[in-house]
Amino acid sequence: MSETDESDEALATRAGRGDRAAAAALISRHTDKIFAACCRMLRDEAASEDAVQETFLRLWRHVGRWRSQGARFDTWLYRIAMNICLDKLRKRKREAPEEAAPTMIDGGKRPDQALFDKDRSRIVWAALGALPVRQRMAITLCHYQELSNIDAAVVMGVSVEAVESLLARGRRTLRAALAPQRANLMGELADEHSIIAS
Amino acid sequence: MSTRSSHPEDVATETARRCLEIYGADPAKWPEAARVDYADMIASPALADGRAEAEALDAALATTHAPAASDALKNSLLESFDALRKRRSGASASDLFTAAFAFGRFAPAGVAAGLIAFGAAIGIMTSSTTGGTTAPTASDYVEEAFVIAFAENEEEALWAEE
Repeated sequence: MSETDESDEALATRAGRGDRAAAAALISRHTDKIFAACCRMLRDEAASEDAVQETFLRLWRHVGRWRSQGARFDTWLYRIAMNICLDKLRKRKREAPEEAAPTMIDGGKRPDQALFDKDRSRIVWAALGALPVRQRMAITLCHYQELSNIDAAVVMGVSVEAVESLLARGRRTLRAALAPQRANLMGELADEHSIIAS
Repeated sequence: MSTRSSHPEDVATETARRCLEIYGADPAKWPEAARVDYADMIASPALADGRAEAEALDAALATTHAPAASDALKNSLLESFDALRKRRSGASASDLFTAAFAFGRFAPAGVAAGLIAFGAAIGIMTSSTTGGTTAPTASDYVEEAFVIAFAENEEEALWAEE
């Protein structure tokens, strides 16, 4: 059986015994999604690379003793990564508290200023970044990383109901934050669709 | 997801509305049970507003793309694995010691305490019989037992952290 066919659990067991090919397979399989999740949490590529490196360092330290016990390997990996992101965000907040102000988007611009920003992706990134951390994490895990609500709850260490509440509140906050530029965002998207259709 | 109405149609509409609010307009992102039972409901005129809101937000969220991890990052992850493996194989004698006591959480601490007492006793005995010429060896032994016990505790602390 090649590494690509092997389950995460089998690869983890082999990596725990020092098998380099198994470790390489785990890296190949999981790095992109863990990095993407970290980017969405931290909004900083360099900090996200650090977070991924810390995540895998902890993985290598403990993978030999990891036992599934019903939990999925990638859920465990996400949990480590999200805890590291939380630590980094806490540290960032201590060092530069103004960056964590929830009403600010787009690097300090107010929503009405951002209304005139043409870069819709940047506006949405900023709105996501302005969300309270747990709401951002719930949206990152469920919407972008496509984890089930059950797995997201395991990663976050909360109940499924709490995840649903965070998602609902997060989406509501985003809708409110993006409302001023909704016509702009949707208008541009509609134009693209019509170009593709024609 | 709780629903307040008891009429089956109301319950279905309310559940689909909640799914739209929580998970968005794409039923593929809904929990499996809700997808099976209520995905058809989003076509209902009663949910037209909620569906439009959810679609608009989904479209906005889709405009952000996270960058892919670089090859350099992936290489560095493998290097960190190699480094740890090398460090561990270099410490194989210590590994054998710790593996021997992997049967219980508190065993290493207990055994370490025993070793400390044993080492101290040897140190006292030898220093009294040979005028202290072998005392440093006994101290070294005691110190090593301390180091091993400390390393064990540190690993446990890291594990508990996660």
